Order: sequence, then C-alpha cells, then structure tokens
Amino acid sequence: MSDLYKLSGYEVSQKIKNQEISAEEYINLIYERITKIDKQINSFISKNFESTLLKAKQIDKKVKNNEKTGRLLGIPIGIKDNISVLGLKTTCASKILKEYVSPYNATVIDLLEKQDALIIGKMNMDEFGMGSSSELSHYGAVHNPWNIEYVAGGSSGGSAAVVSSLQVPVALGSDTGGSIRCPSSFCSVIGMKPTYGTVSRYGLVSYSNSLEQIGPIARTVYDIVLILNTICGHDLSDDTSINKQFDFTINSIDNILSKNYKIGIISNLIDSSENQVARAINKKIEKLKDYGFNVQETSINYSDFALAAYYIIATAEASSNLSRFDNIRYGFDFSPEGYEWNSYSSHVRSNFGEEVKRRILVGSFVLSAGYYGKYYLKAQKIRNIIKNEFNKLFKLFDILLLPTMPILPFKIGEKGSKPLELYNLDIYTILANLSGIPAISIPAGFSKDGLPIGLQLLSNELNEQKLLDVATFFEKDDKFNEWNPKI
Amino acid sequence: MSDYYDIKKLCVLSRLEIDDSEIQQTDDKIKEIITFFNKLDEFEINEDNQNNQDVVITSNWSNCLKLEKKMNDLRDDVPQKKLDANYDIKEDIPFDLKLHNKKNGYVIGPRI
Repeated sequence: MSDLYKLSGYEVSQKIKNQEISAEEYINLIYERITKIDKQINSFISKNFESTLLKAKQIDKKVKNNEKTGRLLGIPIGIKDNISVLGLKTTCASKILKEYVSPYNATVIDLLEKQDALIIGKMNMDEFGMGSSSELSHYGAVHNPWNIEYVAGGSSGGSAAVVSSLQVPVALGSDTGGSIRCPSSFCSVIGMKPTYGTVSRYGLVSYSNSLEQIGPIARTVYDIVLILNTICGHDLSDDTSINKQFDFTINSIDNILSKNYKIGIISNLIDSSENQVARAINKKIEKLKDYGFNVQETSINYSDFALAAYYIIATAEASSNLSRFDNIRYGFDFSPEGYEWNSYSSHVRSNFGEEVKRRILVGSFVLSAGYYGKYYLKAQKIRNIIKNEFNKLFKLFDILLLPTMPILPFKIGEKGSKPLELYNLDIYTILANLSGIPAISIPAGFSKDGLPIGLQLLSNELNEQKLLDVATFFEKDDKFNEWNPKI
Repeated sequence: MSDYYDIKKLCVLSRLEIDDSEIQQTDDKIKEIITFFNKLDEFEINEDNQNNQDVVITSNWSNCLKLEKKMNDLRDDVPQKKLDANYDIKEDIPFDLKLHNKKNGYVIGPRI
C-alpha cells in the first residue's frame, strides 16, 4: 500500500476503476508524500488539496454507481504555473503576478478534467518560462531529486522534479526553447514537446507564442500517450491549433522493429557534448544497431546561428507579450496614489525579475526601428533556413537522435550571473521550437556521480507516433521507468 | 549599443524602471547578449540557403489549417452579466480578494 505513489498514472486509474483503491485514499497518500518530500524539492508554488479531495470523492461515487468514467480517472496532475486554472493562482513564478488568480481554465485543463484527472497544484518554474535551471523563480530554486544540490533544469523544473520524485505520476509543462525537455533530461523522466499547433495554447501565459507549446511530463511512455490523446486537438479559442484528430498508441516491439525506421544520428552535436553525455548517447546508438535499426550519421548546420536567431525572436515576442503586465489588468494590490500613469506602470513593472527585465529590454532593442532589419528580420530568415534544413533531413530519415542537453546538471548558483552561459545550454533544444517539429526527451543513463542524462529524438511535424515508438523501444529495453531517486 | 542613455531610452520604451546603480551592470550584460546576436552578421543569406528548394517541401499542416470563423465575424449580441463598480468579484471567484484601489464604489486609477 505504501508504494502506491510509485505507480504510473495509468496503473492508478486502473486500480481506482477496479475499486482496488479509492481515489480519496490515493489522494491522501499522495498528499502525505508531497508534504514529506517537497520541502527538499520546492516543486510546488500552490497546492489544491481540498478541491482535489472533494473531486476524488465525486470520482469514487461515480465508480461505485458504475457511471461512465474518463481515461484519466483519479490521476493527480501537476500544472506548470503559467497555465491558467480557474480559482487557482497563476503566478508564472513572478512577484508581479503573485496575487493573480485565474478567472478561467486553459483549454488543456478543461480537457484533463473532462477525463476525470485531478489538478493537484501549480508547479514552480523559471519566471515566465525564461530560464533553463528553474533557479529564476520568485519562490526559490527547484532542487534536483537525484541530488538536491543540483538544478532540476528549466523552465518547467517543478513539473519534472515533482514527477521524478514520485510525488505525482504526471505533470504538464510548456516548452519555448526546451523548457519541457531540459528538466526532463536533468530529472530522468520523459518529456514531450508536440508539434506546434497540436495542443491549444489558450490559457497559457504567453512568453513567445510562435515558439511555445504545452506538453506532458511522465515516468512512462504510456502516460505520455494518455495525456497526448487527451490534450491534442483543435480548439476554436486558439487560431494556431491544427484541425486534426489525434490517436496515439503504444505499439509492440515487433511492430516497431517491422517499421524499419531510418534514424539519423546528429554526430556533430553529440561530439560537441560533454564526454559523459556523448558516451551515454553512443551506448544507446549501439543498442539501436544491435536491434537492426537503420542508423546513419548526419549533421545539422547553422546550430550556432539558430541559437542567436532563437533568442532574438524569443526576446522580441517577450517584450511585446509582457507589455500587458501593467498592474491595471493583471497584477497585485498597489495603490496608485502619488503616481501618474507612466510612472505607475514603470514602477510596478520593476517587480519583474532581473532576467525578465533583461529580455524585455533586449526585445525592445532588436525590434527598434534602426535595428529591426539587422536582427529580427534576419533571425526570421534564418528560422526559415533551419526549417528547410529539417525538411531535407526528414526526406532521408524518420527520426533524428541527439543529446537533450550538452552538459550534465550543474550545481545551484553555479551559472546564475552569466546569462549567455545559460542561453548556450539551449542549443540542442531550440531547433525543434524554431521549426515547429515534435521532440521527446527520454532517460539515457547517469554520469559517474549519478546525475541524469537525457536523449532527444526529433521527427517531422505531426509524426509524434514515430517518437513514441522509439521511446517505447528504449523503455522496454532499459526499463528506465523503474529508475527512481532515493528520496 | 550601448551606454547609459541607450539603456535609459530602452527602459522608457519598455516601461521599466532600473535603478541608476544597476545601469552599468545591465549595460554590460545586454552588450554581451547583443555581441552574441551580432554573430548573425557572419551569416550570409543568399539564394542557395534561403530558397533551398531542391527538396519539394510538402507541409502536413496545409491540410489541417482551417479557420472556423471568418475574420470579420462578430459574436452574437448576448446580454452579459452587468458589471459596475459595485460588482463583487467574490461572487465569481471562491476566495477572498480585497481590492485596495476600490473606493466609494469607484476604481481608482493612476493620474493621466
């Protein structure tokens, strides 16, 4: 009974459905675990225990009365704090929104609740999703469950750490330049960024809306499939959402092998990674060869230029998106007495964190009349070139394989004052955001000091099933879903 | 880019307040980032890389993108719940939220 928190989301829903446990019992157990563990991890910004417990009781009633139930029956889900949940605070880990309570649900929340999922709380993150370590939060850094002196990765660090530390089986994150995949790699869980447009962004607080996408984080590929089948689909409230039905599945290993996937190994990016990372990835490549996958080396050009282009686009969009936070429509209780309009706004906006302010300033600079062509326009052209390069590669390969992160998780505080060092960490993950393609990070082993390493798979737009197939292959082979930190 | 006045100008454009004591540090870090962005100057956009059409690109998206609403569609004129200065947010949101910028039934805004 005490090991119930180790169950995957699917196993939990089956046990509740078969009345082996009640949803109420399970939520009480999970809450006990959260109270005990999260002091060390700091993955929650706000908890939703009372409301979750009430809903759990309703679920138990439904099961007892043999009523129709959803596919996520009784699964507690952590939600990144930039996704709106009715009646809960949506702070984006920022001081400026610390009192803001969302008056509506994001589309993804409605879809999850329709399938009887339970929203257990809001997860810690880098402020407005701007960071790769989850240290840049008004609520303090998220600690890595594998070694609490190290960062959990970011910006969805709370979502990855809460799943990794067995507090909840599933969480939602958002990925603007690797914000789901980086913490998934650092915390040894599975994180997926779907194709741009497959998941509605309605209710996601925008940072860079041409790049970001909501996606799931879980310990098993099956749970990823369950969540994708729930949240993917057309939404009238988001004009960028794709009008298509999605039905992902878990295929058998024989079926996966029979598809004879062509896998391109991005050797130039593997070679430029830290030694221990490269070694772990090469081991996985050998495994693919052993099983007869069609593996060939290839390379991606322009990745350095892609990083600069990414940050130009992201900061430009951030400067525009964050202009709405003027403390008139959103914000906290602050008396306007003694201020005129502009000074009030500027004064209140100084409550943004240092990195957010820096990105807004840089964004305003690259969009300014004299520099627009030099930076923003050129960045958009480079984005197009990167997309074309991927289109060429996906004519030759079904899947591209590379590390998720070029380095191992680092100690908290180690890179805090050097923005460019942090930006450089995103070099392998931003490619999928610039080109809108899907990407998944799966656990690939550990360093000699026990720090997690992640492997990243990319496929062409709307080819998520291929990623899920190869991830399933590695999961069956490595059993990485059983790797848990001692916490 | 950049010096003290550039940063001050950017702050005005971005409606941000940065303390004079922090200007130098902000300037240094922004300079570092802009220098990194200048890397794009090394990238020559020519016909070879920009119009790289030796592969015919067929986007899977084209079949999926469909606008359900016309751009000039207006919503139906459905009467909404009356909102006035005495509207109590607590009716809709189940928690205590006391606004300090509400006085005598009016919302106080900063002076224009």
